[in-house]
This record gives sequence, structure tokens and C-alpha cells, in this order.
Amino acid sequence: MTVLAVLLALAAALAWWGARRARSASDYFAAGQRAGAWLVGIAGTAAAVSAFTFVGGPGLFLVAGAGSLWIILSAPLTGALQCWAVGERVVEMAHRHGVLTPTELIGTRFGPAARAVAALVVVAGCIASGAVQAKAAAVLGETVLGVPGAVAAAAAILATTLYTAAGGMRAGLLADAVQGGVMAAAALILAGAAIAAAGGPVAALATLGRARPELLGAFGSVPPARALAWYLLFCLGTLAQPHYLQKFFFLRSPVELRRLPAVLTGALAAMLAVWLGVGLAGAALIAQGRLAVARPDELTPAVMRLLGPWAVLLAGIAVLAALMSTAASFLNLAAAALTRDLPAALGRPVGGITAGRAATVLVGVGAVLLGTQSERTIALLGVAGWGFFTAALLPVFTVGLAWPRTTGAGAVAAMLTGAAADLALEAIRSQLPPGLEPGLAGAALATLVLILVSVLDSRLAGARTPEPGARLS
Amino acid sequence: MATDARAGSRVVPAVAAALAVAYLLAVTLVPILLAPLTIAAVLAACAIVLTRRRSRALVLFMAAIGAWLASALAVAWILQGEPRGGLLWVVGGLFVLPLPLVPWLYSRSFSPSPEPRAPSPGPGGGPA
Repeated sequence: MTVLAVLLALAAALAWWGARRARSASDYFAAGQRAGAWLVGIAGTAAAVSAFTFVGGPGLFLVAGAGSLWIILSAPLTGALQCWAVGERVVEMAHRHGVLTPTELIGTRFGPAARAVAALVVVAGCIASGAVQAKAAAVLGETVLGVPGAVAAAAAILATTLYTAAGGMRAGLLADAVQGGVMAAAALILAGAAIAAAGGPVAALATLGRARPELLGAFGSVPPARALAWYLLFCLGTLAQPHYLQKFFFLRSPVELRRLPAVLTGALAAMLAVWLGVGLAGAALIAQGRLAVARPDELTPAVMRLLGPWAVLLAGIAVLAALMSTAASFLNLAAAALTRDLPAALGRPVGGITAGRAATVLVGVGAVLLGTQSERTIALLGVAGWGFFTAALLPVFTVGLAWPRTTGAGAVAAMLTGAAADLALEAIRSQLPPGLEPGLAGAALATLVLILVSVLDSRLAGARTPEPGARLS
Repeated sequence: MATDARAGSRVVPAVAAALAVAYLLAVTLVPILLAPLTIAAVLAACAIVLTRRRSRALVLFMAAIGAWLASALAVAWILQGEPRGGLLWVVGGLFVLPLPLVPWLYSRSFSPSPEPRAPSPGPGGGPA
């Protein structure tokens, strides 16, 4: 309870600071577009690394072993990939056209209908992804802090909502950067301590080699097709996550891109150490009979309790930092979609900062309600949220921005197809073949639809004048 | 440049459509093809930058990334039933080894003011 009270007090102070500085839409939604590579890289990684990594990741290692790592193995590539594939173009458009958010960029390139659909996709995905963070807070509260899950989820998301609503991303970017530093340091310390508790890396591997050798093959206990699909989903999916793309809008200059992949990759690698370290050590400790858990998501809290009160406190702070930094981005993106993109697409006045604050609170409440009701594990909820954005937005941000003949109708059809296909396939996930990830399959279908509709639309349109503002690149 | 732009406008949808169809066919009919498909899809995504700016260095970097990924996945495939060796290769070969190299390649390839592509006509003849 003390941790939660301190958290709320810090959030209130940050909210007060941010509210005094967020004077314009650019301040509120894009942190004033004045940040450098270091700040954006560390804050962006903090926003990208959620409770999924700290709680869901080690839990998944317990079940799938090395197979779980295929979700994070693309991390060394993704910083450069994001910049090469979409980042350079996004930064250029943001500075050339004064664009503040990913959905606004879609509207600038593909027209108002595409902006409206993108906004709906972002709102739905952000509430679902925010629910993952609320669920993680609930698990943290029940297993580490000793408070009811619903109370922990409400307190964590309320604190995030407080400073995000008041200060927008002016407050959010600073908070994310501090949280990112805390997460990286905590992840390295906790991973090292957990491995040491299991007798060191050699002893942990030897224990698992005897007790559960199936976890240590290159694909662990996961079918290779599924492991490869995870690699592809989490590699290409980084090009479609709005909270990843959002960081490009904060940069003060395109020149900052040169150092961004190094900062992103370094920070990400440090934070991901907890996945392997705690996962490997926890599985070995269970094999040694020194630990027992009822559910995979309980592994991280159980390892921390074994390490001692200092580890419980440090892990609690790191998980809170992880889920709050991620939730802040989702709250801000959803608020921008509700108050700027939807009204603009419908030809109505765009909401100001006050409307943004109200929308932030609304989305935060929705995330808590959804997260505390779900029975799925955090890892599976995380994969589902990631897949939804990948299916709906990957074709638009990659093919759509790179192919000049993509039309507004093609973009709209692709986003709707991707979202619908992902949701339909998620509903029957247990019956799908191992390599068929709903997010990837949805993106594949949406890509085909984008190309087909754009070609047909271009031919039918003939000499029709392009939609206003729809042909910018 | 105009020729490049026209070629790019054909290549992007052709490659994207081929990869999309290949993924759907591979996961339902021939899952083993997911390995080469993964390499092709990652390379294609990286190569999107070539639609904005093209250089010999960039092409070489893409080739290096493709060669590394192909080797790493091939060894992982061989080690799928090997305790210790499998996990160590996955962590070392696929994660630790490229960790400093790929950001360095990006930094070397970075062009502070990329030359804008020559506009190709949009569906209605407007700037694309």
C-alpha cells in the first residue's frame, strides 16, 4: 500500500509539472517535438517494454523454454528496421506537414476516411493493450504487494492517467525516460541475482538439461513454425505499433535518427535480460524443488520472494514503471484519436487539451475494467494486442507509405480487413496451425486487399482528381 | 531517378503480394518454408528504405543482414533437438552477435538529407 501511495504522490507531482508546460497540441500529443535521440530512445523503449516482458516473458519461458525467446530475438534488428522502413519517412512527414500522431499521418497521406478508420483501430487496440497493463498490475498487486488485484490495477492506471491527462506527452516523455532507466537497471540486477540464486548459468543449464531438456533446444517446446511466426510477428510488428511509431514524432530533427537505433537497441537489450535471466533461473529453481508456482505468471513474483524483500521491492517498482510507461503511450494515442482524428475526419472542430484530458481518463477506466475481467495470461494478452495492430496497420505503414499508388480506399479496406481477420482468427486461435499467427495472417490478407483495391480504385477513378491532402508523401 | 521510381512502384506491391501469398500458403501447406520466408520478409522490410534512397553501401548492408539471418536460422534449425547448444546458439548467434552490429550498420548508412524520390504520377495524375 505504501508503494501505491508513493506512486500516486509522484504522479500528482508530475501531473502538476506537466500541466504547467503543456500549452499546445504539439506539447500535449508530441512532447513539443523537441526531444533528442537519447531521451526518445530510452523513453520509447520504456513505452515498448511493458509488463509483458517482466511478468509474462519469464512465465512463458517456464512453459516454452528457448521457444519463448523467439518473441524477443528480433530486438537487435528492430531499431534499425523501424528507422529504415518507416521512421525516416515519418520524421520527414511530421516536420514537413506538422503531423503529431501516427493516425494523423495516415490522414495526411490517405485522406479523412482512412484517418477515421485508423483512429477507431487505435482506440480499440489501445484499450485492449492498456488492459494488458492493468492485468499485469493486478497480478503484481496480488502476488507481490499483497493488495487486491483490482485495487492495484486501478491505482497504477489511475496514477498513469493522472499525469498523462494533465501533462500529455510533455510529462509522459520525461516519466517514460526515468522509468526506462529504472527498468533497465532493475532488469539487469534482477536477472543477475536470479541466475546467481539458481547456482550460476552453468548450474542452471545443467539442472534444466537433466530435468527438462525439451526447454533448451533452439525452439524449446514450441513447434519451429510457431517460433518463426513469433519472430516474424514481433520483428515486422514493430513497424505497426502506434506506441513505437509515436516516438518518431517527438524528435526535434531527422538528424537524431542516426543514433536512435543504437539507443533503442541498447536499452531494449538491457530490459530483455530479465526475460532470459528470471525465466531460466526460475525454471531451474523449480526443477531443483526450491520453488513452486500454480500459474506461469506467478514465476517472476515467486523468484523475487525467494531473492528477498529488496528484490520484491525492486521488481515491484520495475513492473510498475514498465506498465505505466506503456500505458501512458496508449492513453495518449487513444485520446488523440478520439479528440483529434475522429472529429477531423468527420469535419467537426478538433478537440483541445481539455478534451484530450477527458478522453485520457475515459480510456484509462476502460482499460482497467477490461484488464481485470480477462482470464487469459499476460503473455497471450500481449501477443493478441500486438497482433491486432500488426494486422490492421502494417500494410498501411509499410506498403502504403512506400508505394505511391496506394489510394485512400485501399488503405481503408486494408485496415478493416486486417482488423476483422485478426479478431476472427483470435477467436479460433486454439484450432489454428502452429505457424498461423492471427496478426501475421491478418496483415497478409490486408496487404493483398490494399494492393487490389488500390489498383482497382486507380483504374475506376481514371482522371478523377485525388482527394485533398491524400497524395502527400 | 524517374526510372527508379517507376520500377519501385512496381516492385513494392509485387514483393508485398508475393510475401503475403507465400506466408498464407506456407503456414497452411508447407510450414518448413517459414524459415526462408522469414528471411525474405525481414529483408524486404529493411529494403523499403531503398525506395527513398539507394546506395551501394545500403545494398551491401542488406546482403550482410540476409546472410547472417540465413546462417543463424539454419544453425538453429540443426540445433532444435540439442539441449544447451540450442539455447546458447539462439542467445549468442541470433541476439548477442547482431546487437552492436545492426545499429552500427544503420549509423553508417544514415543519410541526413535523403534525396527525395522523383514523383511518379498518382492515380489521378497528382503528385505521389
